[in-house]
Amino acid sequence: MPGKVVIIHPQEPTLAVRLYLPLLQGMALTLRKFLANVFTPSVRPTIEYPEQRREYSDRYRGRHILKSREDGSLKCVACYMCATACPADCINIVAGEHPNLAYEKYPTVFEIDLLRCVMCGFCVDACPKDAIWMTKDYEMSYFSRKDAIYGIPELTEKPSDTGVGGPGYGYRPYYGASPAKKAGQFEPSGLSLLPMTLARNAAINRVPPPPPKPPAPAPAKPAV
Amino acid sequence: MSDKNVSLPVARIAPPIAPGVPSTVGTDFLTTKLDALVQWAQKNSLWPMPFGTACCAIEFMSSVSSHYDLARFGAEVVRFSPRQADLMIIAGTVTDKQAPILRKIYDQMPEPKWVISMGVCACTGGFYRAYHVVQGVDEIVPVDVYVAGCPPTPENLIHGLIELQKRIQSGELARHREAKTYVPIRVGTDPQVESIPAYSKSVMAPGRAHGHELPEMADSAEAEAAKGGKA
Amino acid sequence: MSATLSPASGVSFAPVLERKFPDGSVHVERRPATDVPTVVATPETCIEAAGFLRDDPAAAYDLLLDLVAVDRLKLDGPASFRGDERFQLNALLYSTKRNEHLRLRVALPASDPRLPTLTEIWPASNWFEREAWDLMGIRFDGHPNLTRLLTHNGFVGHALRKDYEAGQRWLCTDEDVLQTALAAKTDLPEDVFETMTLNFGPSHPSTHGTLRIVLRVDGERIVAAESECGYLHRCFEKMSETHTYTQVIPYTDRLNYCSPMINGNGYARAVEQMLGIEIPARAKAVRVVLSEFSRIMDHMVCIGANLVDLGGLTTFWYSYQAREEIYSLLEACCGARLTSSYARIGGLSLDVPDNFVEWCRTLSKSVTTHIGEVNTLLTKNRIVQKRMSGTGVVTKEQAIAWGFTGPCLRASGVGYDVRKDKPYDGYDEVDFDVPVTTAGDNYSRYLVRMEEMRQSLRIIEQVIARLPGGPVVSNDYRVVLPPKEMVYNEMEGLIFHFKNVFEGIQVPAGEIYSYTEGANGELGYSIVSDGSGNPYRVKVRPPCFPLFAAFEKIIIGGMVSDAVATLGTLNIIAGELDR
Repeated sequence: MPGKVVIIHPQEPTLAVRLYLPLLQGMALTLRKFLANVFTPSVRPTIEYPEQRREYSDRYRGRHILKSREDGSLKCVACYMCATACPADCINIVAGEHPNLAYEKYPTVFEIDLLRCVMCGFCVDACPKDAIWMTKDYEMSYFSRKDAIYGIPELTEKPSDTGVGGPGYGYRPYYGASPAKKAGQFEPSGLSLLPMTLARNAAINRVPPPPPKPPAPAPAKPAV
Repeated sequence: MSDKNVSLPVARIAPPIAPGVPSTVGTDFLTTKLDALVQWAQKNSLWPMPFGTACCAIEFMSSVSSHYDLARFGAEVVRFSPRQADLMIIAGTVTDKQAPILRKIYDQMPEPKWVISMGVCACTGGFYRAYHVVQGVDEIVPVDVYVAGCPPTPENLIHGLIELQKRIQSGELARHREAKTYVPIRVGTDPQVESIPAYSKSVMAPGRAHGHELPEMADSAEAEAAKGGKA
Repeated sequence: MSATLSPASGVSFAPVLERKFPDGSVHVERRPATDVPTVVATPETCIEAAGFLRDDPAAAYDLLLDLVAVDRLKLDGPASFRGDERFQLNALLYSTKRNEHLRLRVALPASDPRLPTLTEIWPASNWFEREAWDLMGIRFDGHPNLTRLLTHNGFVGHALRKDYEAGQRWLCTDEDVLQTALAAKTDLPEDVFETMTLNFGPSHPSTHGTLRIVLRVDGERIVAAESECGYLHRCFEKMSETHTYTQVIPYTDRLNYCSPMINGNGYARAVEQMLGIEIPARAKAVRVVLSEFSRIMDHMVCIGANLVDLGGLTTFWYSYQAREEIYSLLEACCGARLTSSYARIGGLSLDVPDNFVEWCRTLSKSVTTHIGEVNTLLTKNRIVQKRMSGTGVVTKEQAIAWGFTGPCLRASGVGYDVRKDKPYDGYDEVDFDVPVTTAGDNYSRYLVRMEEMRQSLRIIEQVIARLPGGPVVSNDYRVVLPPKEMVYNEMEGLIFHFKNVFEGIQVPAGEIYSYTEGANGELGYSIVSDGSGNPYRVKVRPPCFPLFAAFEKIIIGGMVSDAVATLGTLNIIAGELDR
């Protein structure tokens, strides 16, 4: 096994240390930082929040949105998958029968209690209809607990969510892994590497594909 | 919830006009201006008392550190002594064991005082629907701003702080508080052991915030009496 | 049973044990190869067995890691609750001399479960027994102070028993909180003018809001102390039982919230071991890289916060700058700054960003700079040295007896590091050192943490240099969610997806103790499965717990201000201390 257990011996304090001289080094460091911050604004780490904003990645797990179909109706079919997957149990759905028979079901009530939600993204992972995404919106403070329960009107995606100055999409089903890839394009995080036919056959047989094998051992060499 | 509650000093919040300014002359031009000045001063010199218990305390530390720098809003003087603070930031899960301590510290803070509940654990208990977790600190102390997120980003906390400042400046919070009386639900009741009904995962009814009853602020003395009588 | 022993059971001292207990009252149980070997005793023989396990040179289990109590009331299958043996108490042991783990198991009856205390043999057992009494109602005869530890004194019942409802709360009043044994003894007449009782915490900046210590001080010297925890007992273990295996992952993030990624990886690894699945090489490598960055974050906040407690605020700014930079990387990988929920059973939730490798390189350079800055400020700072050297001393023997692991154990001269001694996730292919010091004082713990951060960077450099390609999750759809393409377009994908979400991962019935190296020491998960989608029992072996249990003994004889320094270097994280 490479590496080892190394024993550190604390150094015996030298005369300089005894005279508190290394403190000067620390002070010099602090002074250098101070002067740099004063004279070169570009090195200041501070993000002047309401005016400047830290850039979060396209996977940021912020406020949820419900996606709509092209005709404006919600994609959600009230299947309760997100509510089941939610560890905080913060999603409340009441299903109704959709007038359009093609859609069958839709949510008459879809509430997320943002003061219960722990922003784990499991609802997005669980949705089989691509109906719930998250945005990069993190500004969620309320004056009462009731304000924080978002219903369908608040959750439905609005142009302001993605428009200029809006938060933009955050965590979504396997998208947005890298800025290089456009939203709307699948990026199934490596799973697509599996040939689909193999997966289909395995699924039909109800036998999941075998787990990846460890690298094949080198061909046995004849014993010398 | 019950009459036994009275053993606890019920927090009746005084109108947040500065001490020494008599409210009887509130209609005068000068006092109005003085009110505005006092409110302006208060909002820009909030001294936070971080009641940090858990993960949110780490994010609170982030928001006072150099990347976010809460000092830009006049709130950098973090006081661990409640007597020197006027803004309590409850950052983290509050358990039943912690609850009496939280109440005690709140009572030690001088008026006027505000409370920010940071993170979903403090706001509602979050995903800890459990036998030892307070289901929202508004069971214990009145909360002015609820900041969602688990934990909230420092930006979110600052957002909550700015909202609070706006309300302090506008006086809205003062009027709101003046009109309502806060009745803490649990702390300080009869020491005789009393169990709190279990809430289960399955209870989900609209308006009940998913299995847990929202604490109400009594709108008037009658409502308060009705509430007391009901319980 | 002992006749069925085979070399596969992994217990080398089995013949000695058989000679010692010829009647078979203490014997070796067969376990799968992934689990730790197990020795079974009865309540009557457990003291003798424990003494043998600690003292016999063939066994030499000198370090008690954890006590896991299991209520088998609702357990089905072969291990189900039959007859009168409802409870099980498992003591998890480690031998620092032989580098072996072991489980000592005692079955206990349903009515009045009790057994003699193990504190005489492993002093670390003290608080673990209090916890088992508090949450599971198991009595330990002869225990010095068998009182509630995590829940408050107004609590009724034992919360982790299977017939206790998860949401049943009890009122806590002021009197319940303020009562401790030491505080009650304040009025000893002979003490009145000599010592005074000082309450320290829980709402005190240096106790991080959640620890409480009652001190008896003579002037400024501590003559007696009693520490108390439980102010952040969030019922992790009960919550795990009410959620599916996947849903437990967000809870694990909140255990040690200074380094959340490590907890999730450790938990996922434990479940993967139970399932017997192997995760892709890329997932392992990414887990290692992010765990090591998390370790740096943890040590940074430990050192920074410690120095704040000692009165030096500057270090805090510098160490937080490093944290913020690491946060950026973690957020780009998992979508949240702190509570990552990145690990999934079977791999990771998402692949890392495209520029991951370059990002890690840049980050590791700038973190090196920040470590250098902290080093400049502190290591040769005479004030820091004087505050830390020679205070909070823990000898090697004490550290082992008190169940220390991690940096605190290594600072006392024992070079046990899970990454090195029981390598996992490819740590055996990486070249890194395990720093050890011998003094065991606060300054040593500081030095060990500083060196560990540098070693973590070494590990990161090596892993990203050969970061494997390929998927980051297993393609076993019984365990991971199928790709969305399949879910949207194919019936089979949808079926797997539904089963996975609604029923959870069906982990085969069994039991495991799986351990990784957390930032504070050995982070272990004991999981019992009954074959359903929810874990039957999850017990975390929190590295902080033995550290804080020993705290009241370390600080005796020192000054109050030294106690603050010691509390800082032990790095007690309430989230994993109280769970």
